[in-house]
Amino acid sequence: MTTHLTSSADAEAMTSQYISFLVGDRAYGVDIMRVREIKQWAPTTALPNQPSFTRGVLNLRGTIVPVHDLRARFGGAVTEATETHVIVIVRIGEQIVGVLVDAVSDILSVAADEILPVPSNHGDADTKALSGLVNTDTGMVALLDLEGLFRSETARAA
Amino acid sequence: MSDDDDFKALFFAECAELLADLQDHLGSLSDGGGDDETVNAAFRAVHSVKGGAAAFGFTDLTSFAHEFETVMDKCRSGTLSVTQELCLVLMRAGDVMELLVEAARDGNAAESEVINRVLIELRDAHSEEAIVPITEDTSNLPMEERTVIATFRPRDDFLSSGQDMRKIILSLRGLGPVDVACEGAVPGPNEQPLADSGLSWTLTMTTDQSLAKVAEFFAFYELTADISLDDPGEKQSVAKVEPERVKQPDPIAAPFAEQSHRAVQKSLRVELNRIDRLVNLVGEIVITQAALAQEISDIEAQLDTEIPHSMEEMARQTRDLQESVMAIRAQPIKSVFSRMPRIVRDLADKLGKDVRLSLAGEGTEVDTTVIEELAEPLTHMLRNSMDHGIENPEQRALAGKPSEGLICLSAEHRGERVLITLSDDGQGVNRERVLAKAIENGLVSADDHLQPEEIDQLIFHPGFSTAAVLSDVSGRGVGMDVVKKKIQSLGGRCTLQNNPGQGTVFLITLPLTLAVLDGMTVRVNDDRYILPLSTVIEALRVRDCNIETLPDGSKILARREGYIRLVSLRNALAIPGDPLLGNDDMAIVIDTETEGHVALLVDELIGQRQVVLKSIEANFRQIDGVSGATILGDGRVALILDVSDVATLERQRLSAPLPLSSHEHELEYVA
Repeated sequence: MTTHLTSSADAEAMTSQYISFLVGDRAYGVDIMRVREIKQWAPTTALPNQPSFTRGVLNLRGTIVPVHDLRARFGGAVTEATETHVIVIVRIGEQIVGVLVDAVSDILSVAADEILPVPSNHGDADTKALSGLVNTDTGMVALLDLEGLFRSETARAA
Repeated sequence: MSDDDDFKALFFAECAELLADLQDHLGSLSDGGGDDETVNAAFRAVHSVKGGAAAFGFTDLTSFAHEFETVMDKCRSGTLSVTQELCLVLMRAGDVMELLVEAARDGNAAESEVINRVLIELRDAHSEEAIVPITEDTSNLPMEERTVIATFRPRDDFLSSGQDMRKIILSLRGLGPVDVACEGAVPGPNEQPLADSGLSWTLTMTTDQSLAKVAEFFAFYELTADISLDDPGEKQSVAKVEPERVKQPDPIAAPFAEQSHRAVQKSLRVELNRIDRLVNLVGEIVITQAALAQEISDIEAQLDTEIPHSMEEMARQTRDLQESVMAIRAQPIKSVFSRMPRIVRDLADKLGKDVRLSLAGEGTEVDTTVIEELAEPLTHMLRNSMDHGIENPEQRALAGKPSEGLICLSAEHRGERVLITLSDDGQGVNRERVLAKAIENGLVSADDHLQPEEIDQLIFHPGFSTAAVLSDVSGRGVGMDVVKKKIQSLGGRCTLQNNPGQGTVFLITLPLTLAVLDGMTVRVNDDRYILPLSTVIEALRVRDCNIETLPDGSKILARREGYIRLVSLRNALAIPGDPLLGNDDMAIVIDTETEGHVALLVDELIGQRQVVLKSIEANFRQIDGVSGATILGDGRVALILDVSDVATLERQRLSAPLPLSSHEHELEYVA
């Protein structure tokens, strides 16, 4: 009885919460501690000479925040954003960045041992964009590695 | 450990201020101004640095400061008369102090050659004392024998810093007999801290020494104990021994004391980022207020009513609030000007030239950031004037000029901007040499028939340097173009007035602050862009202009004085849409500094407004052609353009193959 309690407390300690959201029919997750807020899509101001997935910048209560289109980042078309689309504002290192997705779906509690590694045998460099995979009742959720995804965008500062 | 580092950082910050003050005081003494109080103030500055240095164990600094202090002390007592020559030695000594402080801060060894040379000068100076008749030494002259009572309360670190009360008392007896009374007891090792134990010594001494001498003795222990002195002979009760309290009351100097001694205003050290946060917040309020005012005036129009004056009142208060907050960030330009005399003295030595630097308008207040960024270009310009402008003494004699060259550096407010003037009475810019060099470098051709003023402007061209021999002084591959670029990045302008044979005048105008910017709002498609107003020369309607196309497809616009390049903002920033000219398009003539004047083609000119600068780099990265962003009244972000970059981008785009399509971009990131 005592041992059971301890092991469940251990598992509790190893559990993290993730916010999951949808792009098309794919689900992605981000550690909830990294998410600052979730915002309805608002038109951005375009920046010159940026990759197409960088949608421009947004005024987040006085701070200028870049917004990246997750669909376009994964090689899809540029999202035709409407008022139903959302921007997930996340923290990457010292910077605040917006990620445009179709919709937010759920909050997941995931134990550390439930996170499965991303197979990297097919040599796709973009697997760096994912930090792990989780199986849920509704299907697989790919956990995003935000640094890997947008590092090239943020750390390339002059 | 980190506490120690904090204290050290504080010490170095204080040293910088003290030494700057010191140079100030010495400067005014050297100019014949200043009085006893100025000498005292200079002495105190040296003394304070010495005290701190001793506490931290910077022995080089302490021993040099000691030597310096000895000379200063003799000036103070009148044993040594303050001549111009002596002031020069003292200023050099001040420079060495700065060197030593820097060395102590960085943990390096300072150049001992310079230090030794100045040390010898200092020693020479005070050995001359024998020649100067000993005048009345009021501060150190023995007084009548009387009783002085000192109360000595050790602080917590008294013992840990190795002080020994017994030794202190023994050495105090050197000044006269001392009676000791002790209150409280030394606490045991695990008991309350020393300072709380109520432990104190009352030292009653009979002495004929002046209070200054006694205070000097105790000053050494100031850092580890609270000391108060009571001297009935001086009729002066002092809470804590500080050298400044020791000054002799001087009935004649007293009326001037307020003038000569800057009124001590209370001040508070605040971290810059706290102020920045405040500045940001106020910036928000300004924007919100503007948006609110807009909405309310719309409502007024709809309801056909008038909302009372509160809105106007609020607009005024918001403006006042912003100005007050900006004033917190403002500081006198002196903090950068005061570094310049040292540079001039150093260089004059190296170049074998005789140069005097005269400063004016040091009290002019400018935003902290502008001041920080100004040091580098200003230093470079000064080096440039010293190296290329001022001739050596022989040449000056031939030209019938005084052998001492004069460089004037001044600052003054001009409306919302500050004007900095750097002038020298040297040989001016040698137009023949500049032109020859420019032709050699292929910047211009010999048949261009440039106007004299145009030749002068060539020195701002990238990579231009006429120094025949690259000297250690200027010509480190950094040219005046970098200076101009830097000034421009601060929202300023830099111009040159050249009087060959008579000298050169550089004029720099800068905005008072980098937090707000006067901008010209323009529109391309649905996006609005801000051009810094300082770069805008005029706005022309395209249909009223004469536009020609060159064989390479680039367009030029006719102006009174000739053709200038027409740069399409759409092309430069790769904004989608038809780059063809529309009838309502506007051409904004801008001065790009690096690319000369160009006409920037936009869809519409919206108007002038003051904008609050926001960083894009904070959350993203630097973007070519864009220097920052701002938030408009409707909450949208507008980019602030870097006009030189924009012009360069457009030129590169014209000569480069078509930009990558978005598809190719994805390949780059996915593959």
